[in-house]
Amino acid sequence: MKHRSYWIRFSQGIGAALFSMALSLPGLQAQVAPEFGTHIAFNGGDFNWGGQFGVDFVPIDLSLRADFTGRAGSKRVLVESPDNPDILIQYREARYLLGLEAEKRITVFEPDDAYIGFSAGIFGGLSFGDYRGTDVAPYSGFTYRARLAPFVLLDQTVLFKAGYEYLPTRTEDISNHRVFISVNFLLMSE
Amino acid sequence: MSAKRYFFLGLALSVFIAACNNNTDCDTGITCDTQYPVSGLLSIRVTLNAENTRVPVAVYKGQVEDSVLYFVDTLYSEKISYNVDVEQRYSAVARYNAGDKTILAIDGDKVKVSSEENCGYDCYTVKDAALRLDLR
Repeated sequence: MKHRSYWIRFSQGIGAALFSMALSLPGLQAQVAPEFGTHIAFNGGDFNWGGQFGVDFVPIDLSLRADFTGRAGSKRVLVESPDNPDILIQYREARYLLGLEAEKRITVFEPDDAYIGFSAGIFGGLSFGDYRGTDVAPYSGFTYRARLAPFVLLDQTVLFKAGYEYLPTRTEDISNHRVFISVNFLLMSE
Repeated sequence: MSAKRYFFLGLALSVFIAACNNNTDCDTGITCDTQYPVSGLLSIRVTLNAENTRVPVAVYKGQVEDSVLYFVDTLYSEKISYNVDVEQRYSAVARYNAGDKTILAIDGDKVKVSSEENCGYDCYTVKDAALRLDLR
């Protein structure tokens, strides 16, 4: 994937469009905030990093974000040859996700200038990638991702989360279960 | 807006600005190679084991499917490097025995040249290519 930066800008554009659409909804101007953030997700054999751009619906603690996530480097996967079952082919796979994530937060505690609670997020979008050194392409298509995590929202501006992520990888070589850590910035006017 | 919120927003903006910062200062302390490089390194890593005491490797220019065979070699050590042309993409296939099956390990990378201006000169750097054909 030679154009990772283009996909990041593309997701920025989607995030800006989400915010514009939210602003155009009647009566919501003072209740939405643009937001952006970054996150990592990893397990014993894989490490992903991504960026998010979107909008937070403040009164209902709901975020809608465009998300672009990419694997750091590439991961070795073993695939049976379609022509000969006695031949296994080891590729190095790069993998990317591009889509939308909706996240709902439920506040449990409200100490000074902070909100603490639990969040649940669901991502839906396109999973695509490539194998290094060959024109053979790995799976591309729809995928989803689910996240559950405690959160801390400081001063209604900085949102920290660290929790569990489920992402189907369609290969036995990489586990579907990960830990994720994220930080998002909510740009509220007041 | 509270002082704490200004701090957090300033921190966020600083991260973005730092990521976009294009440093054009003149630093006389760095090594600057003003000659455009003609070669870089292509390193290949393989796995040697009881079944595979030597590993045959075929190196191609471009992708494997381009079929532009550059050279073939049989590796007796787990890592080897070759001098190759710059600004060229390379791919390679290693063949392993695994019981009654065969494993073909494929990888590709590019030897790149980047340049950065320092004190009015173009300073060139080679990013070597590394092909990981070792087994997982």
